[in-house]
Amino acid sequence: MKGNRKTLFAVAALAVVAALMLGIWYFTRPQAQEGAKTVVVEVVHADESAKEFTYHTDAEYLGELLLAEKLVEGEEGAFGLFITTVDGETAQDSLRQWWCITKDGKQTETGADTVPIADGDHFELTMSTY
Amino acid sequence: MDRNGLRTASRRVVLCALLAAMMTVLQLAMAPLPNIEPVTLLVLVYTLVFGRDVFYIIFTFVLLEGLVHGFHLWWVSYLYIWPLWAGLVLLLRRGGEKPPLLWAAASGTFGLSFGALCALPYLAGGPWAALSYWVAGIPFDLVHCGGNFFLTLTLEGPLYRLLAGARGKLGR
Repeated sequence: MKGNRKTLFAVAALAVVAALMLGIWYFTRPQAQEGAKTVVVEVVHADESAKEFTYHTDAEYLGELLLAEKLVEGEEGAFGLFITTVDGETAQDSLRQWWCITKDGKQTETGADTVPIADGDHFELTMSTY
Repeated sequence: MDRNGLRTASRRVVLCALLAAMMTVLQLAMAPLPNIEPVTLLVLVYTLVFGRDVFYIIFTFVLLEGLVHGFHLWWVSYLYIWPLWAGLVLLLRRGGEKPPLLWAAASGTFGLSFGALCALPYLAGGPWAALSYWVAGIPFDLVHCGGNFFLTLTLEGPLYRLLAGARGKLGR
């Protein structure tokens, strides 16, 4: 009986901690800027050729914009959208390639669909190897 | 080492390699499901059945993960996260059999803290880098928590009986 009570207490404590963490995430999540924004996306291909795409958008997150503009294709993975193809070029697993997302040269901390975009942002999608 | 000792040691090596390979294959099979993974459950059951031998299985699994996915920063965190989980299970199992709900709560707690544990190497970039990494990943930790809780609640008992039976047949 005492053991059962302890177990139920552990489950209840887990639920409380989970709810607290949800609250922390909700109130500190990056806020996207709404309204018309101009965003530049630079694509650097495997042959090092670069192309710039300028978009005017109301999208809140980068992944949403890139998919809507059909600049990228990808699949939903454990960490959200995983970009596999950019501007028609697909990252080859056999060549250990992947598309690296950076903002002004600094790697983003989250996947494309949770990177908020603001007016004047400059992103780079670079074919990289691991 | 006498012949029996050699045979026992050989069996142990083969068994650890087999269980680590099974964990890797199952982890890859479930990879499309976001943050729902079998490794927490398997480390739990392996620890309950094989005790401290689980550390051989874990380090083989971690090595395989590095060979499959590459030796990146997350791989460093695997070196302490999974042994830590096995250590906690070894501590919790003291004092006799525990109800499945308790193991489910423990697995859920581990899933919930996974992001925070993975964030530790990011402390090298300062506390804010680690904190922002952890907070950004909280939704994934919540899914991890739920997945671990229900997988453990439903499968811990049957898997334990299966592996304990297999261990008995192997004479270990």
